[in-house]
Amino acid sequence: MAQLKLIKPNTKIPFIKHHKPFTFAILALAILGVLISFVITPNWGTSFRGGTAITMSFLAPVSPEEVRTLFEQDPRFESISVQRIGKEEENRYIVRTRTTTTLNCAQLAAVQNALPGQIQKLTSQTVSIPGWPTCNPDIEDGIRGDFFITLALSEEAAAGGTAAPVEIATLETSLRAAGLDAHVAYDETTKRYLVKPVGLQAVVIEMLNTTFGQRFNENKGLDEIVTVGADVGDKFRNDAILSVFLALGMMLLYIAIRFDTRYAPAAVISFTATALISFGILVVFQMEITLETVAAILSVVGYSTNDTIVNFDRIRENLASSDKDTTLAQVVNRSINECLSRTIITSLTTMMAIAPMAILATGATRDFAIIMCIGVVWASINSIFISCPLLLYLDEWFKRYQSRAEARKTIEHDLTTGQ
Amino acid sequence: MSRSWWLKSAFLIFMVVGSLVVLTPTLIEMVLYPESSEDAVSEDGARVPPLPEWYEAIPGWLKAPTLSLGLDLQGGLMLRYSVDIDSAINDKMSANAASIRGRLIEMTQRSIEYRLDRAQHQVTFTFDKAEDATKLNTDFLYDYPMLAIVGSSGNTVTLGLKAGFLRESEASSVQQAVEIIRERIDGLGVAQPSVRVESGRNIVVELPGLSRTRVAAAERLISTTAVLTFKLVADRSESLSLFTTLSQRSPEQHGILIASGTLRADDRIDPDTGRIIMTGRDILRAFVLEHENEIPAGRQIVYERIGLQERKQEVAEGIDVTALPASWRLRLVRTDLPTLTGENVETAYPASNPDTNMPYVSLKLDRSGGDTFYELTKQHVGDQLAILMDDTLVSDPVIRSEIPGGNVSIEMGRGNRHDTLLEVNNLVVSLRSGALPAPIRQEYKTLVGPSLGMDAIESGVKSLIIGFALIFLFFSIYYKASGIIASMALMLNVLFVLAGMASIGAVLTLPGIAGIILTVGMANDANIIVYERIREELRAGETVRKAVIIGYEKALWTVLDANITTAIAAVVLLNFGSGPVKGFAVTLLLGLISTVYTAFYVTRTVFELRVRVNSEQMSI
Repeated sequence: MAQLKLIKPNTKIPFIKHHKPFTFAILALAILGVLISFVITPNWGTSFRGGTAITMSFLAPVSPEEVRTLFEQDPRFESISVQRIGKEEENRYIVRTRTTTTLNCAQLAAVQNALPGQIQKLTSQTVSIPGWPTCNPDIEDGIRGDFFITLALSEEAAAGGTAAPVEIATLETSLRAAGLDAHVAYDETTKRYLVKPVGLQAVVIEMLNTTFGQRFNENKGLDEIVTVGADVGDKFRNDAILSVFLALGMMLLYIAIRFDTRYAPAAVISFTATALISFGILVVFQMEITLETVAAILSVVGYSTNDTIVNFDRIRENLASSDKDTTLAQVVNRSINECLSRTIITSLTTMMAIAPMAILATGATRDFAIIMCIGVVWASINSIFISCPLLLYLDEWFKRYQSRAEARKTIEHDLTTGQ
Repeated sequence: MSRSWWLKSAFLIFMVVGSLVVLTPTLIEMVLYPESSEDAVSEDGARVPPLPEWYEAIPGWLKAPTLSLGLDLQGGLMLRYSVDIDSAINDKMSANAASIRGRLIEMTQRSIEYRLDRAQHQVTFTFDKAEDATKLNTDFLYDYPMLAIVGSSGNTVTLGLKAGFLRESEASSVQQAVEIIRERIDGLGVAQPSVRVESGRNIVVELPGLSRTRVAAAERLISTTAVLTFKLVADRSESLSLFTTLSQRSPEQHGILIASGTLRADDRIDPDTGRIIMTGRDILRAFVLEHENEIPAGRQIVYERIGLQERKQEVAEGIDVTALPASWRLRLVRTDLPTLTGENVETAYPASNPDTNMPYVSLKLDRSGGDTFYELTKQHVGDQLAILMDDTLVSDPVIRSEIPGGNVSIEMGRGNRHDTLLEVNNLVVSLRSGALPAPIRQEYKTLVGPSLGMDAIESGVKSLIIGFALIFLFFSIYYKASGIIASMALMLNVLFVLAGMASIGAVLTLPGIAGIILTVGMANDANIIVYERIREELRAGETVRKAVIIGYEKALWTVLDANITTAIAAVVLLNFGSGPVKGFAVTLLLGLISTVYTAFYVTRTVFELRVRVNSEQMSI
C-alpha cells in the first residue's frame, strides 16, 4: 500500500558537513537576543515593572493624543504611555502608568500641609494634625487603603464639647479641596477619623466620563485595570528568571544521567538559544513581556527539549549498532536524516494547532500564539543545527581532554618508573 | 494477550466515562450559564435559571468541581495582598514593652526607659541600677509568652521574639486573614470565589465574573478596617420629627421616597445591563450631606438596608422581592451616650433559643465594656440598641432588661428562621472580623472586563476547532486509517487533561491553554515517532506484526525521555513559578501523563487489535 511521504526514505542531506554557517548564525542571533535588550528597552509588562495598565474602549472615535493629554495633565499619573489596541474602529486604548495609587507619598504630604488651611477656611478654626500616616517613598508607592488620622482643635474651641472636633462632611470637603477624594467616618472611642480614599478605578472612570461624556460609557467602557506594586513586579520577574534557570539545570542533570555527559550541555545550550531568540523577538518587535508571554517562552523551551531528545535518542541507538569505522559525525548525520520526516511533521501539526490562534485572536492571546509559532520553528531548526553539531564539538573536546590526560599519565608513569 | 486486551479496554472505558462524568458540571455550567457567573446567582444563593432536576438528584460527593475559567478568560477581579506581620508584631511588642515597664517600675520604684528596634523586633530596657535589671528574668517573662531575653549587660536587658514565634505567628496570621477574607467575600454572591495563600505572606483573592460596579465594594469589604460601634436608636417621635423636616427639602429630586416615617431610596439600576449605578445608601448619603446642619447635636443619621422579610410585607402579593433592587432607609441614633466599640467584644458566636428555636448572637464583652454596657442597659430598658458598622445600621435589638456581666444576647426578632440565621451569621462575622489580625496591603490588582474575556474565549475556541480540523485532515491523508487513530488519541488527550484539571479544581487560563497546545504537540509527536518507526521497519522488510511490535518498543524510550525531561521542567515551574506560570505547569504535567498513556496503552492496543484482524497489510 502506498505511503504518503514528505521526506523520501534514505534521504541523505549533509547537514553536518554544512552546519557551520547555520550554527554560528543561530548562536550569534541568540547572543544578539540578549545584547539587543541593552540597546532597545524591553517592553516589560505591568506585572514585571509595577504600575497600572488601564484598558478602555470608547463609543465614538477618540484620538490617542486626546487620551494622552487627559492623563498627562493629571499630576496623579506618572510616566504615561498610550497605545491603541485592536482595530481602529474598536476605539480601544491601553494606558500604562507608573502610578499604583491615587495617593502617593508626595501627595499625602501635600494633603497634610494643605488640610489645616482648608478646614480653617470652612470653620474658621485652627486645627493641628497629631495623627497622620507615615509614608516612606523608598519602600512603598503610597497609601493603598484606608487610614486613620487624628485632629486637634486649639484649646478654647476644644473645651466646647465632646463631639468630633470637625464635622465629617467638613473634613470630606476640606480633604477634597486639599486634593484627596475620600469618605470619612469617625470613631468616638479612639477619637480617630477613618479616611477611605476613592480608588484609582473610580478616579479613572470619572476622568474619562467628564472629558469624553457621550463617547464613553461609564459602565462598560473600562475593560481592564491592572495594578502591581513595584516590589511585587521585581519578585515576579526574579521568580520567572529563577524558575527558567532552575528548570534548565534539572534537565541538564537528567540528560547527563540518561544519556551521556556530552549530550547534556549540547541540549541545554540549544534550549537556551531557543529561549533567547524568542526573547529577542519580543524585544525587537516591542511586544509586551507579561507572565503570559513567559509561559509561551517556556512552552517553546519544552517543545525544543522534545525535539532535541528525539534526535539524541536516535543518535544513541545508531551509535550502539554502528561498526567501529563509522565516525560519530556520520552517525549524527544519519540520525538527523532518519528523524527528519518526524521533525517536520511534528512541527507542522503543532503549527496547525497554534497558527489559527495567531491569526484569529487579539491582544495578549495573539502575542502569545505568535511567540509559540516562531518558537516551534526555531526549536526544530535548533535541534538540527545546534544540539547535534555541539554534541560533536563536545565529543572532540572530551576526546582531546582524555588523550591529554592519558598522555600526562604516561609521562607521569614514565617519570615515576625513572625511564 | 486477550486478557490484557480486555483489561486495557476496560480501563480505557473507565477513564473516558470517568472523564465525562467529571466534566458534566462544567458542561452544564457552560450551556446553562454562558454569561457572567455573577448574574447566575440570586440574592439567596439559588441559581437562575435553576439547574435541571436530574442533575440536582446526583449526590454532591459524585459531582466534581466545575472547571472554571480564569480571570483572563471570563473577566473579574483579582487582588493580591501581603499581610504586614512586621507591623502587627511591633504593635504587640510595644504594648508588651509598655506593660513590662509599668510592672517593673511598680516593683523597683525607679525610672526605666525602653527603646523598640522595629527592624529587629527587639526592645531594650535601660535600668537605673544593675540590680533592677535582674528583676527582668525568665520568671518575670512567664506572662509574656512571645518574648525571650536575647541579651543583657550591666543595667540593660534586651528582649526579642521567642524562637519560632515569628514563623508561627506569620502562619497563623496569614491563615486567619484568609479565613476572615473568605467569610467576608462569601457575602458577595460571586459564583466561585477563591482565596488562597501564595508564597508565605501573600494572599490572592479571585472573584471571577464580578461586575465592575461592585469592585470598589468588594475591595472595601476585603481590606476594611470598619469601625463597629454600639449606640442607641433615638426616640421614635424624635426621628419622626427630624425626617418630616428633611422630607420638606424636596428629596424627590434625588430619587428619594418618603415612606413610613422615614426617607428611603432604592439602588439605581442601569436598565440595559442590570448593574447598580448608585446604591440607595449613597443616594441618601448625598442628600443628608446637603442638610447636615439640620441634624441636632448628639444625634447621627445612619443608613439601614431594608430586609427581605420587611419588603415582602410592603409590596403586593405575587411580586418577587428578591428581584427588586435593594432598598435603604435613614435611621437616627444617639451619640450623646457612652459608646462601645468592636474592640470591647471578646467573643461572639451564633446561638439558638431552645424554646422558639430562633437563632441569636451571643457575645461576651470585656470588663470595661461590660460595665459600660450594664450602665447603658440599666438606664434604657425598652430602647433599641443600634449596632453600627461605620455609618450603617447592622442590627437594632430591643433592650429587654439590664444586662450585667458583659454577656449579651442579640435577638434579631423579625423574619423567618432562614433569614434570621443569615443575619445572625453576618453579625457574628462582622463582630469577629471587625479587625484583621494584621494589616493587609494591596499589592496587585487586576480587573478584567467580561467583554475582553469573552473575546478571548470566542477566538480561543474557534482557533482550537480550526486547529483540530487541520490536524485531523492532515493525519487522515498522511497516515490514512492510522492517522484517524492518532486523531482520536489526540481528542482523548485533551479530554483527559480537561477532566484532570476539573478534578483537581484547577482554573483554565491563557497559560493553561498554552500548556494544552504543547500537549497537543507532544501527543502528536508520540504518535508520529511510533508511526515513522513502523514505516521504517516495514520498509526494512519486516512483517506487519513485527513492525508494530518493534516500532512501539523502539519508540517507547524516545517518547519517555522527551516527556520526562519536559516533566522535570514542569515540576520546577510548579514549585517556583508564580500565578500564571503555575497554571501552565499543571496543564503541561497532566498532558505529559496522558500523552504517554494514550500512546502506549490506547493506540498500541488498537494497533495490536488491527494486526490480529489483518496481519497482511496496514494502512499507515
